[in-house]
Amino acid sequence: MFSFTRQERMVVLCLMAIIATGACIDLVFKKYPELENIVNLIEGDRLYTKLDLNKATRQELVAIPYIGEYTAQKILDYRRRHGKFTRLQQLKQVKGIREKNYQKFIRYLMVEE
Amino acid sequence: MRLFVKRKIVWVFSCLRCIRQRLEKTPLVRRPFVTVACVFAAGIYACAHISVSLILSGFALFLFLLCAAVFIRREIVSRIFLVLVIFLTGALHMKSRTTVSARDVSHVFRYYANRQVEMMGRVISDVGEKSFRTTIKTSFQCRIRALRAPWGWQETRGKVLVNIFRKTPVRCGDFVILQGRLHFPFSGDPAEKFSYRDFLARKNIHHILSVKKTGKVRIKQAWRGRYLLGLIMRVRKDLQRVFHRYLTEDEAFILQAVILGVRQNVPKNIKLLFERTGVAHLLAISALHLGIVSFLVFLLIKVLPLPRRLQYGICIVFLLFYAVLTGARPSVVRATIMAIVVLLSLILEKESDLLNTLGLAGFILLWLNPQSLFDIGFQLSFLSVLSILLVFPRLKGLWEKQDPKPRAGFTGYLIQSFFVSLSAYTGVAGLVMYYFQILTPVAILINIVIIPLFSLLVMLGFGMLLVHFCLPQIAFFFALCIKVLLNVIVGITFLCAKIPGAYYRVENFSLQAVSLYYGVCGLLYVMLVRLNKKGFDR
Repeated sequence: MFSFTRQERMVVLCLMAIIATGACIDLVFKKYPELENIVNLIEGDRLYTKLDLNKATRQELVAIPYIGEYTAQKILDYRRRHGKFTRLQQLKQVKGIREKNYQKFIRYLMVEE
Repeated sequence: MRLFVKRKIVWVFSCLRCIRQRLEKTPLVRRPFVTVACVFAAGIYACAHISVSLILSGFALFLFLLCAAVFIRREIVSRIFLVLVIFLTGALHMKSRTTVSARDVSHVFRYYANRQVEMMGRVISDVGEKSFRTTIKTSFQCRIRALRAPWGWQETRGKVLVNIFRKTPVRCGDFVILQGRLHFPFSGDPAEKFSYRDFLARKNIHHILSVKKTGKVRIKQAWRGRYLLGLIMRVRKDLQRVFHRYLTEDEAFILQAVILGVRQNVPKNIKLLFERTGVAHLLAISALHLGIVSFLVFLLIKVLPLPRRLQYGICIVFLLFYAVLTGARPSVVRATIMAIVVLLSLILEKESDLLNTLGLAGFILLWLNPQSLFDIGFQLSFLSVLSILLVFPRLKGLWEKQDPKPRAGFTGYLIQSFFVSLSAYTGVAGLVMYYFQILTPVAILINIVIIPLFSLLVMLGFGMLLVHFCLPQIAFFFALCIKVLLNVIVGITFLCAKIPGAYYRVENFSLQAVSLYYGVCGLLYVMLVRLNKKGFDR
């Protein structure tokens, strides 16, 4: 009954290890839901490397997804004309930036106080 | 004067003899496919940059062929002519593949440019769907059969990329009638190294058909021809759905890229993060995946009482299936050819040389599509493997020379992983700086940590797909393990990106700088070889 070959033993062992690990994770997530939020890096906002809007250069702005050459130039023009950004919402006043685009690249930007 | 000429002739002959002796010692000669692939690639490159008459090059090719046959007994002369023949074959092959037929859509494009046009053709690629502004964009490649002219359907040939700005039930293999605007792809900023127009041109696509929300899309014949390809695409769609069933949206998109090679939906921040840390190669299907597929196939068919050779044969079939399933990108095809050659050598009980196999893979890929020579994926894939095959044994040899006591266990694994990572990164760094304007020294270290975790992730991914169809109750546990592991991998990458000096932006890294970089690398490699030899001589 237990005459498994070495390879079969390895497969069964791996399968059991996965099931046991999965069951433990499930249990931990159920008991401590806040832990699931900590693990959930991909879905959260913590993974975004934020760029300071007041120090960003044109190249740095263009490197951000959803910001092209045109938008980057408009942001720099706005900064030159109105001085430093005090809050991120000011970006909406920049020509060409609509609410939808703003929501897309807001995760990559910040204003250092 | 006569004596002087005689001396000169003797000198030339002695030089030729010396070259011949050197050539016989060079590893390239003992690895014929490396030479064939390199010379063939040189022919393709020359054809892309120099305009030579077709008649002249054809005539030269036959002349050199004749000379190679006539001087077949004279080894060095025959070799030189053979090299010239391969070079010209490469150039002519490139010319024939880039020259469009007389009935191609390019010839009639000017009559239909930026106007509403009706065309019929067959869907020849996977149908992708992507959210676009407020709607969904359905994209696929279509082989045109006819365009509607004022006097009726006009027979036309060629490939176009179709973008339909709505959800449509079109599938691979369908024969469709479409109505839309025919236009050129945008070429992008001339300063940028990447041009979408060139990218599509390398796939022999020179035009885009944009079908508006109200544009006509009619399936004339469903599911005709290309049955196998259509079936594989359907399997791919089903597998994609499995990931979405157990994981969150972004996690599923990352795993789709990792296991199935569907990269268009990977979150942009993750792509950016992987690029900054030099681990973007994780999102491409490579030899690692094929190794795991082979391992799983062997594990499953071991249960059946089949002879060893038949098992290898079945594994080859599965590898081919997986290559098509993942979109047959250059890196996948390269790895598949190499794996198949290794398995065939096991069936035939003959030894295979990895460098020679790499040359064969390169030659086959260039034969299938000569324009893939200019594909970034092709260049990076071949250069990294070539670099590992050449540099890693030398570095290891040098290390063993310094420390004759072989390190076993974890330390030995760490040292070897570091050398593999260093070899691969040195090989691709020049091209990465040129194409992506970034230098990521952290990649050498991060890969040592990430690759074992990533291998585990790929195994769990395949395991989950397998288990979903056999024991769906267990798939949930696989999904939980995948979720944690994927987040750990991304977390480590994120932390590494935060290390000061993890990556540098390299602006204006020119082609001359790339040449200089690889020149220096070549010199360092020669030094490494000499150092190794000195060690062995002692």
